[in-house]
Amino acid sequence: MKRKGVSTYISVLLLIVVVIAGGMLIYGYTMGWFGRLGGEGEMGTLSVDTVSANATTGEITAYLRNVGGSDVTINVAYVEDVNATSVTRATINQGSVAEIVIVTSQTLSPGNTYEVKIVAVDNTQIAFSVKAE
Amino acid sequence: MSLKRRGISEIISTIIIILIVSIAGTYLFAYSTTFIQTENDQYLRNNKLELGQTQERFTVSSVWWSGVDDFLNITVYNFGQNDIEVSDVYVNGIRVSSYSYGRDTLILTEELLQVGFTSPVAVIGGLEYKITLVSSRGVTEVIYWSA
Repeated sequence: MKRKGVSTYISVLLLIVVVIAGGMLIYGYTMGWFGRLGGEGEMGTLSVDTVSANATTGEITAYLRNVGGSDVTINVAYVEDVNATSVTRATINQGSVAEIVIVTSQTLSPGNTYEVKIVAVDNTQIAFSVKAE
Repeated sequence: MSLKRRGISEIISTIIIILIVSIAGTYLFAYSTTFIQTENDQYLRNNKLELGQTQERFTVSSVWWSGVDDFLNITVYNFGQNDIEVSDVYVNGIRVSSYSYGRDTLILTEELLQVGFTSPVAVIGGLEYKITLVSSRGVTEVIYWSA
């Protein structure tokens, strides 16, 4: 039976060219969407302005400054590697300062130093020590 | 035995495979380039910030108090390599909320600037106060001042 038309190899080559051209076109259109993949952007960077620990109330008050490239929302806090009872879940905008109050179940003894670690939603972390008064 | 073959043609299957590979490749490429770019930007920003913090040096030259109210005037001297701004002041760990002048004002290198504010805690003669100054880069300077 006589067969007519382009060969399989030619047709595959033509299809590859068409698909690549189409792919490039689609790529150009969709990069705006795809461009957001690979991360939600830069993380924040936190620094401590000042911190104090009240042995009487068991509260640790820290003023945190966001010197990073994106806003940061505080999520959890640890005192001596133990999850704090509560922490102010504030959003600290770029260049802003927020008062973060940490309540711990541990007994804070005046004169003792405690290691505190604060973790934000985007995994921005800061660790510092504070002396209870 | 029937020799009837069923299924999609070679051309259709080739198109499908090429489409899948193209889409997956585009996705992977976009993901990796964005990820690398983000990491690079983060690294450069942190590097710049740390360098700026390292080169930042300032001190409190003097603290003036009238002796009657809670108004304080502190003189800041910038002896570092970068221009700075005093973003916040804390007295005994309490953030100052009322400034009269000097806050967020650029202090050029080797220059002085006065920052006037009302102390959030009562200023009483004879008592010592811990005054913390924080720059916009997060660098702190702590002094202990006796009223």
